[in-house]
Amino acid sequence: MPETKNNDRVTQVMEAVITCIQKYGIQKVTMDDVADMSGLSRITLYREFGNKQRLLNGVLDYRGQQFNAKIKELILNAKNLEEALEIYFITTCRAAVKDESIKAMVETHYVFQAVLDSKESPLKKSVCDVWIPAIRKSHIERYGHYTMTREDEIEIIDWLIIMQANFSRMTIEANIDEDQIRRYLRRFVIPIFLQQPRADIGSTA
Amino acid sequence: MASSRKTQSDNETLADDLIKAAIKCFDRFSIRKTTVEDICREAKISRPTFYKCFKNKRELILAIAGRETRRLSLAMAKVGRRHKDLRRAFTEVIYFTVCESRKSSVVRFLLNPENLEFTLDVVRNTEDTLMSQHDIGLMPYYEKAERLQLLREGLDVVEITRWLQMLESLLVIYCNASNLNDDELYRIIEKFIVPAILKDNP
Repeated sequence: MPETKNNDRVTQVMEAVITCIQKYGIQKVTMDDVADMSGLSRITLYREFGNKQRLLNGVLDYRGQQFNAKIKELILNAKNLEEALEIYFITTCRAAVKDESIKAMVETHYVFQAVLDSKESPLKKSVCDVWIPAIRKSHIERYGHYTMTREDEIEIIDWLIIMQANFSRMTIEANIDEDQIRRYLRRFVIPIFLQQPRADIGSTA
Repeated sequence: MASSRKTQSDNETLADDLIKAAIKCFDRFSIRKTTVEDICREAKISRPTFYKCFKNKRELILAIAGRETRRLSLAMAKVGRRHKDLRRAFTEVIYFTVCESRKSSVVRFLLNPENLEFTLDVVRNTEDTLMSQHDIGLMPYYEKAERLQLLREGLDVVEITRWLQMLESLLVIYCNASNLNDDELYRIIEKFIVPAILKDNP
């Protein structure tokens, strides 16, 4: 099937981009570097992946999906939404510090552009798939009903991604330790996910 | 007496000139790449004179950051006064801070990805002075919130301030990196930041 062949190629290119980022840095890496590293011709690379920007978006999605698949189990086994979110944020921070390509994207603030500006981001979709059902379940258990609109859901997922990038940034750039991150999470971040949206804020002006 | 006052104000003018020159340099190169010499050349001031005003580049940056924080804090304190509802006041003040910081060339170079690590390092080691200046802006609202028992349980003012300062810089970066518009920014603050600090109004 062409589908699997295509997937193999995507993996091959993504791994090549990651190696190139580690080798040359995110600003300096060029399409030629990626072509050399992946063994594809320049023409094929441009035809199938467009440009550097799209390649970098691709890496973020690729890594993000790998990460979300890995962490799904942990989240499903958590006692409740609070615990699941805490595990998620802490694990993301640890991964961001360890993974050079993600670290580079956090440091250059690239991650904001990539995920939040594009509506079609597969990374965002995989975050939605994990968290919207979890939030719904928690609200129903807590309040007996669920009042979030589709718009509320999208906004809270954006917030989750912003916070994820924020804590990764705090860990990488400001060396804030894990205990402090947990404190911030418990006080200022997780409670938001447990609250129902307020009626007087919900409507768009 | 008169002469000492004169020296004092002379030094202030010098410091002013150096700060202006430094901001120009930092806008052009990164903080790391700018040398004291570059700044002196830009300000047309000799190196020994520089060292009369500031111990080093670090101290100069701190002075710049401190000045800017003070300016923003004083403006912040005014903004919230217009709003009776505390939730609204907090939202407005945070929103104002982010918008003003985005416009500020000082904040822009301090938060530039190339400079960020340096900035955080400088600021972290001198947190207290900058913090207390930041406090001036929101302090009246914290006090009111405490009086009305509207702060969420288990929060203390120092930690809220620290958190908000970090969030504000995050939002500045985020606004600059993405296409977030003013309305969306306001909504984020209203929906996700303020409700983590204040309880629901009864």
